[in-house]
Amino acid sequence: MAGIGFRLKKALEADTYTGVLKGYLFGSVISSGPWIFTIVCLAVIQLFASRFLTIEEADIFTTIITYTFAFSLLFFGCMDMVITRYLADKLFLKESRVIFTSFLSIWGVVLFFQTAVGVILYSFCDFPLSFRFASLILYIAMSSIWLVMIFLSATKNYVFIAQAFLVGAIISSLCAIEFSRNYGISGAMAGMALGQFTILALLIWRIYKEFGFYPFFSNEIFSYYQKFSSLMWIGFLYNGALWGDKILFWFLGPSLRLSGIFYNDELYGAALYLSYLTMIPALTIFLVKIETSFYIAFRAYYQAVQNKKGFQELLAIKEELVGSLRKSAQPLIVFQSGLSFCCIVFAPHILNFFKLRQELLAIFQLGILGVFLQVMVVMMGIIILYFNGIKKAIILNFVFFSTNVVLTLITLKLGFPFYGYGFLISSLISFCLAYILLNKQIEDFDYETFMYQPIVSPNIYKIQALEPLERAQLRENS
Amino acid sequence: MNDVCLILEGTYPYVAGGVSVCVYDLIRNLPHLNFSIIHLAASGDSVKELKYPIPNNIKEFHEIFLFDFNFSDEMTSQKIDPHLWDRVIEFHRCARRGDVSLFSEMYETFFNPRTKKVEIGDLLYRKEVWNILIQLYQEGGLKTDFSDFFWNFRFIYFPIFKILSSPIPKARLYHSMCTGYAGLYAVAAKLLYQKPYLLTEHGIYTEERKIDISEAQWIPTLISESDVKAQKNPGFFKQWWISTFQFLGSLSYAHADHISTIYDGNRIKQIQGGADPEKISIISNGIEVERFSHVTEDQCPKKKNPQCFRIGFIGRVVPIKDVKTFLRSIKIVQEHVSNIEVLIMGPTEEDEEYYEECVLLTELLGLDTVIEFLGRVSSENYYSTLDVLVLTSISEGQPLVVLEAGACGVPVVATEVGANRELLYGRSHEDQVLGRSGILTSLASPHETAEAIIKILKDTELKKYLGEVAKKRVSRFYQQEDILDQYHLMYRKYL
Repeated sequence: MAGIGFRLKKALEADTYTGVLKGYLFGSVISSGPWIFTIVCLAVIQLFASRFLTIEEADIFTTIITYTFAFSLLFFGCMDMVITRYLADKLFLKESRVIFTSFLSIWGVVLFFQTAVGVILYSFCDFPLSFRFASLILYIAMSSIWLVMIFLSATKNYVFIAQAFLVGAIISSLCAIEFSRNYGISGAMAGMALGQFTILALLIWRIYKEFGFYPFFSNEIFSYYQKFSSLMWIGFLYNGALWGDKILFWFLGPSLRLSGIFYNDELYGAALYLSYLTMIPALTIFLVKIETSFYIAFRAYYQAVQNKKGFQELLAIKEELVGSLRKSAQPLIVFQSGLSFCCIVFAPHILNFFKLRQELLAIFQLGILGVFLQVMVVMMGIIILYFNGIKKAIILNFVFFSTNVVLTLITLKLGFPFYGYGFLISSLISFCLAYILLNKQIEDFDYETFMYQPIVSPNIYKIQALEPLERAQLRENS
Repeated sequence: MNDVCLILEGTYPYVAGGVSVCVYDLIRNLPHLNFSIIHLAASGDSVKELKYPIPNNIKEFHEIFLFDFNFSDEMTSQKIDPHLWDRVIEFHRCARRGDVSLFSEMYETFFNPRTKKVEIGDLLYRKEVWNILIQLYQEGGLKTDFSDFFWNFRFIYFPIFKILSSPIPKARLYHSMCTGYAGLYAVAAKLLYQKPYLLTEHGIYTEERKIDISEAQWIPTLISESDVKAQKNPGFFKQWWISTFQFLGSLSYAHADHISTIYDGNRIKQIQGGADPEKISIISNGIEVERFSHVTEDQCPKKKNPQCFRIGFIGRVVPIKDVKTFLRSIKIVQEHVSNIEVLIMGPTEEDEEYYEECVLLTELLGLDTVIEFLGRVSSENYYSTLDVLVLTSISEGQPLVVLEAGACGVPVVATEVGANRELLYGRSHEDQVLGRSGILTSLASPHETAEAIIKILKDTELKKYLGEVAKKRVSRFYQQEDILDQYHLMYRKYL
């Protein structure tokens, strides 16, 4: 009797686990780099350009830069993780040839979309046309830089990125100061935009050097928006959470309306931006740690799965992984809490140093505390994503976002003495939730790694694992 | 509602073979009954073209592709009683001991659309299922290979989930031609609609799967190559597959209302597999004797030399037929009988490597002038020209060629495997008194085979006697109409 001749050849050999191991190094960490340079650059400009700019002009200048950050980052949030995922897949499949073309196509979309947003944004104000034009250019440049950063972070070429930003920041500062001498605020903005364009040009050149240009059209990157819409939401909610309270304060708080939709929030915003600077050491340490001990331990787990280790061994490796996480997190938390504590104690002096009013003191101190918690939320969120907990990351960022918005609205109602508590409580809630979710995620890690493997037939399974590779080989040959 | 729902696994109408012919004849000859057919195949792309027509009384035709896992992701919104999962563990423990009694409970809880407490998605993704998987892994005593365990778990249980979650058409009677997945489906049908289930096995499914799996390359063995070769230990994963099929076998045997097979040797294997001897009957293969008496002279391929003896071998050129022993025996025959001509009839493309080896051996033995590989031919035209038909198979069920040769009065030399003893020496007393219609030989023994061939060729009287007995035996006991009547009677009893 013929019976049913099933063959599951290759089924047990194919490699799907490493496919899961996407380098989840997200822009949230990466973008903190350029962010720092830009803030420093802003401070320098403010310090020196004040000689040539009136106080009002300096306010307008910082407000525009702040808006540029907020809006470009909000949209960046929608792209960040989806594109990271796309790049991880392409690099895993060794299809790096499509990357530059993909970059160009998505850049085209970003240029078109952000130009439209920028035009709308700046048509609702009565700043001088030349200033508005320079601001639009800056907005487009910065939006593009975030995009480029996603592509470059895949190459892990941090030194070059840092150099490019340093060069850009210097050019921005020098040109802004120099141009403001003769052209006032428009000149300052043009100088700033010029520096940012330098960064953009350098980074694009780098992508080109890294991946090369192969002229064929691929719209595959857009299909990732359908496949991984959850990642888009995570990014959007995360950036929404980061900016939600600030934006609410522009429109509903005691901010000064400059023109159109542009408000200068000298109180809440100013205090919080300053407190965000305390994030830098923690993020830097985290980035370094994640690249070393944790990432290696994490990869060891998947290697153990592929090397057909026993379940006990997998559990042991997971324990080790958690251990290494704890070990690297402990000094970070100790250091960061010490730093935050010092900043809270010396807050009056810090405000003095940055020439900010002492009435910001309470908000600034609450901000430092909130930022401390937020750093932890961000880091735990990234680890949850490392462990493939996409659903949990959505929940976390949604709670982060909605509590921030709701509590900020409440504190706005309650009045000045309560400013900053919304942000702090939202950070605290998110912190607790992140801790619970992370523990749950680690506990469920083996379960999810295996049980969420796509359910495919043995023969289809083989095709899925090989098809993109074969396509790549065809391209190599042609 | 159709009368009979036939559940077929990898046979009619897509695959040619003994079972397919039997199914086709059965349906064709019972035009007053309506059939629905459930065809099980590994995957959608393994099904190609129809090898047999579809008679009009087949009213429904459904296909299930076991390894196309197009499950829905639906999960129940209700709370699942944790006790249910404990029962699953208990079920597996019983199954390991060969106890199939908890299966009905599992079916009611997890699959029966009327009583189930969960959806299919729950079985695919739930943490509780993962916990069961871990427990089975630990109870299996494995220290390594967790990922292999995981994938084997999926590939063993998902086809079973697939079968049990497939819709079942209503019928008055469910009939499967083997145990395994088809049997499982029939058992589910019986549990769902409380209708009778008939199991008519030709070969013993569990045994066939066992051979397949022992040879399968894709299942990791975990043990040294030498142990595997010596067949001492199939290794954890192969054992897992084998015992799964053994379980499915016992399950079918336990639930079938009536069991049949084609000869006594298989009946004994069914009993060993857990079948109740009371339920088993024997329904042999049958052939249309008239078809062979209608072959005319000019249809028969002529001998090269009318004086020479013609020895036939009919079967696929594959190791299980042990063609090499046949070739070696011919060498010996040639030393005693000079004027012989040997025809090997049967497809050669199934195992090209083995075929090449056979051709090479023919040349080495210097038999290339005597032996001819004809490939696939319509063998019925050749029977009447044969002086003797030889079978050297290592394993057989109830080979049709012996019946066909018998219908044409050709004596047979065959190894003592499968039903060959019954076919040549008779089964019942009534059958045995007819006499012998051929000579049985030991496995892989060129000398015995050669001796038997020589005996028949040199003794014209014996040859004639054997041929006559063969004709009588086939027309008495293996007429197709009689066999179909037996199926019909069985149906009548349960419809």
